[in-house]
Amino acid sequence: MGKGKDPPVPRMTQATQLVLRALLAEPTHEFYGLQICEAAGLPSGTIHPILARLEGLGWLESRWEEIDPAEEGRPRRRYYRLTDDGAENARITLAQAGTRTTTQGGLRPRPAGGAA
Amino acid sequence: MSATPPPPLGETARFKLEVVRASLDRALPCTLDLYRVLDRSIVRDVIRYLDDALILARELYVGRNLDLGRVIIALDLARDVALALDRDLGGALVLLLDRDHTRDRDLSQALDPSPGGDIFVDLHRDNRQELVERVKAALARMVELETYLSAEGKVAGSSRERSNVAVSRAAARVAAWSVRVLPSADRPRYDEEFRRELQDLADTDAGRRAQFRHAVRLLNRAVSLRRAVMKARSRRAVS
Repeated sequence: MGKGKDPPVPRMTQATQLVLRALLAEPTHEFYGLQICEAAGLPSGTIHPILARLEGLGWLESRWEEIDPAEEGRPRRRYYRLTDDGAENARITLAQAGTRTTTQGGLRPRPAGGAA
Repeated sequence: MSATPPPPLGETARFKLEVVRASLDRALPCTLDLYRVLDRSIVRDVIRYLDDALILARELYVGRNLDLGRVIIALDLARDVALALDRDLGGALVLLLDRDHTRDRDLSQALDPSPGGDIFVDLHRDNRQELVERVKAALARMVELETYLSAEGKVAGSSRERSNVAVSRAAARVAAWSVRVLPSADRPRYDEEFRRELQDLADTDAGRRAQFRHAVRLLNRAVSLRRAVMKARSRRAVS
């Protein structure tokens, strides 16, 4: 029986982690680009490729603001929200990324009793 | 500065002035880098920034009758020094390579412009100093011009084009360039999204510089965004 293929995961750069943490702060909330910039502390140029990648993986969904731009006299906002799968994958991936960071740095935990 | 008030500036002229200033802002740290490492490629970067600034400054001088004369003279002088330094570095390298190549110590010192490469560095100390001073002088002339234009603008009142425009047209233009990098199918979406971001910035009283910086950051990562949307599309096509 063949093993099922693991779903693709975005490269967990610092910037991607910051974006995911910002979105996970309110996983059911819809954010627009500038809000994500502010929450993640990143410039807009950085976040848009990340959002596109996450959307491509199905971790995010997006939609247009429901206004008539001609009537309002302004362009529409694009809102982004984590999908259910995306939120779960994000939590798991961030946890793994956090674990990799802590084990790469300091001493490896050793079992009690002195065994190497 | 001229006693005659300058003509009102449109967004295009303002954008060009901003690019002149931005080119000088980039040139100065490069010239200071030359104290750390005397690298011909850095000198060439400086020449490129000064060229960019000069082309636009001359366009504005001829087209708009702006008092850019002193800025252009300062840029020309800085560029002359940069070109001379570039020639000297090329000449010095050729001269050194013609020497006896068995003298490894001298050659390695000469090719290594870091502290310790005394022969190479001392040849160009004065030129570097002059280049820094010339670029600073050009920047100072530019700052004087900006101060003069903004003061005149306040005195002349709201007759200028931009007084009724919420979003900086210069920023909108740069954001539009970043959209052009994207695949055609994605352009309408990102065009509207980026325009709305600039509108949001304008609504929060972010100045033209903040909007321009925002747009430049979009442009800087446009290629990365292009790759991301194309990869997302190919993933959707496969699934």
